[in-house]
Amino acid sequence: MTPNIDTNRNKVRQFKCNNCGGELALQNKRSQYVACPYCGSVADSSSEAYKVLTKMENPSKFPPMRFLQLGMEGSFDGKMYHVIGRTRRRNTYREYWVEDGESGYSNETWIFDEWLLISEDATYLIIAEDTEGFTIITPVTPKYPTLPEGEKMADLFSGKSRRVQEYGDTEILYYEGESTFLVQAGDKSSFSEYSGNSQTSYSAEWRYKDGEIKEIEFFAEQEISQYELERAFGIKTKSEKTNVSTPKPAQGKKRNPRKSIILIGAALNILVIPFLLMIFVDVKTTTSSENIDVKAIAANTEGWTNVNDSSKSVTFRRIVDMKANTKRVDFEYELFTANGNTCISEIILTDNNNDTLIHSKEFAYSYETTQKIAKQGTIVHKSFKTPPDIKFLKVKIIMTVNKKWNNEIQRQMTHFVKVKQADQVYTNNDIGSSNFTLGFVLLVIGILYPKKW
Amino acid sequence: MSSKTINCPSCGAPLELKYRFSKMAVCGYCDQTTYMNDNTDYQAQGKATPLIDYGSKFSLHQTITIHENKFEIVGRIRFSYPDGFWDEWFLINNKQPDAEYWLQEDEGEYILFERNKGVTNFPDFHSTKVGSSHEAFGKQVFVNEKNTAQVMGGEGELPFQVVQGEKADFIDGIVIKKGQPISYEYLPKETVLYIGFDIKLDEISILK
Repeated sequence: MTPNIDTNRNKVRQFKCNNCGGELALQNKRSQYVACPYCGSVADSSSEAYKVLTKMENPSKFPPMRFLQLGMEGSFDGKMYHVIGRTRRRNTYREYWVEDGESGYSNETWIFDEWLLISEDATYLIIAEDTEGFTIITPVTPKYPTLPEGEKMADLFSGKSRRVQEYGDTEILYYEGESTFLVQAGDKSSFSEYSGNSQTSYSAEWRYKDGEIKEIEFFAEQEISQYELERAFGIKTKSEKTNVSTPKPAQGKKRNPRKSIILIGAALNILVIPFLLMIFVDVKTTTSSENIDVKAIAANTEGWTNVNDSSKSVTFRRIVDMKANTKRVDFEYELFTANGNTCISEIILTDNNNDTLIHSKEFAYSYETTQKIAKQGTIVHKSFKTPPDIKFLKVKIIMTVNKKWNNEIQRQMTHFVKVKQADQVYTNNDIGSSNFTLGFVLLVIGILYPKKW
Repeated sequence: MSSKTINCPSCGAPLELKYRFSKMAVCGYCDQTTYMNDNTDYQAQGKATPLIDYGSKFSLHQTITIHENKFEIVGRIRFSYPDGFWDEWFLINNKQPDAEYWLQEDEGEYILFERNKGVTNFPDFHSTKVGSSHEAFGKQVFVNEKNTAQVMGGEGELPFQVVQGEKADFIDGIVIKKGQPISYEYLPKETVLYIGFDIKLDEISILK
């Protein structure tokens, strides 16, 4: 390769591939290795002769899946990033499934790309791409780190046991672009992953050396739509706003369209049965909004109280709405945090008469989500089934923001909700019959669908 | 902040030492490494290879703030390992002049560490397994990495003595329930424990 390094440190290092003459550019000053995207030669950019150390398989075997390419520039959270590397991986794993009341793990393989981006201030961004969509992968430091074994792993932020959605091995098939270490095809690591909330999944990934685990890393994967990604890269998008990637972590899932059609058809039919029954037994029906008392009796309208916040840097806001009837407790609240690392909201419902615990649930928010909340706030909607014989509910919401340097900051708020003792509440409308028709048609299509897909 | 000035044993240039427990300094004029064993014993240890600038936003003698805490950068050490290399910036804080802080900069990720001088029992490097847990400073610590690094070089003043090319084993962990990163560094002459916090680059301000 012909050395042609730009002496200006603020500019990229450029040279030609010794093997094919292709133009190579290194954006990251820390990068030592570069895999030529034209011929697969891997060179040591720190050596005088740009020595070729190894060779990947022919790049034509691993073309990019969509529009992303090396050298592109995109804007994320107001910061410009360069695409500097792509790793093609193959996962061989077991995936959890539930169908017709049965569950188990199936053996799967999945191919995906990991794109490495670097910003002007040398921070990184990883985008995973597969045939179903995109996710942004962020390393996280968990509160409850574990080495997962088998089908259960601890929730990284609450410690509760989680069903592992996928576990297995990931192998590097191909790499192109620059890297600070020598990426080799065939390198393997193991992973275990569970689904979180808000289209986020969490994973642990570990790798062996000389028969011993050397490192375990933890990641959050947040979905991003092709529309958002194209906009980030300034591409005139053909994707619709609604063309959000399907809920899909990087490791992927296979879906059987025949089963999906049958399930949707069956579900629509089941949903419509109560409406048909009501018509036949002549039950008086009204709209739900007329029968539910939407006014919460708030004993503490002041909102959030501090538990251990000395910095006053976290501002949680208010309950927006709360309503409860004999069937559901629905509430929504607005929260706004400072620039925390991660946060958890814990919702505790108790019977106000005797303080008996009815329901308790934790929701963990990833770093990315917390950052979004810090910038724009968010309205959180939660809904629970109302237990029988409850007149007043006490709803306690505790927010814990992990500020790291300042440690945790916690705030809490308690509200009381009168449960409206309404009669049966159903909404009768024409959608019922159209759902039934659509459901019936889908059920028939599903049954007649070719079994070999 | 108290500081004292010594003269480089090689070129005679003044070396201002900001941290009273510093045991090593690299002359900014001639790159001579000097070991300080006590207040009067200064030993020249040969020339240090200057660290290559890889585009870090930080440099010696900068004043930075992290979450409203002000620090001065007085030294840096660079380690290499099979996955690349990382820098550790030695920081001092004038409100806690005896404390030892490090800003670890590794592939766009930052951790602010503080040395814990109260712990004297350290896990055995060879028998400790990644994925295991142990008790330290009253907390349970999960081990998430175990590796061996090599000292690539240093600059400014440092609170321990290292030689370029020396190997340094390390174990990284996470404090369970707290999510705090910790690091044991098994240096040739001593083992040290650091307890830290993940920091984002935009949480660090460079004042001057």
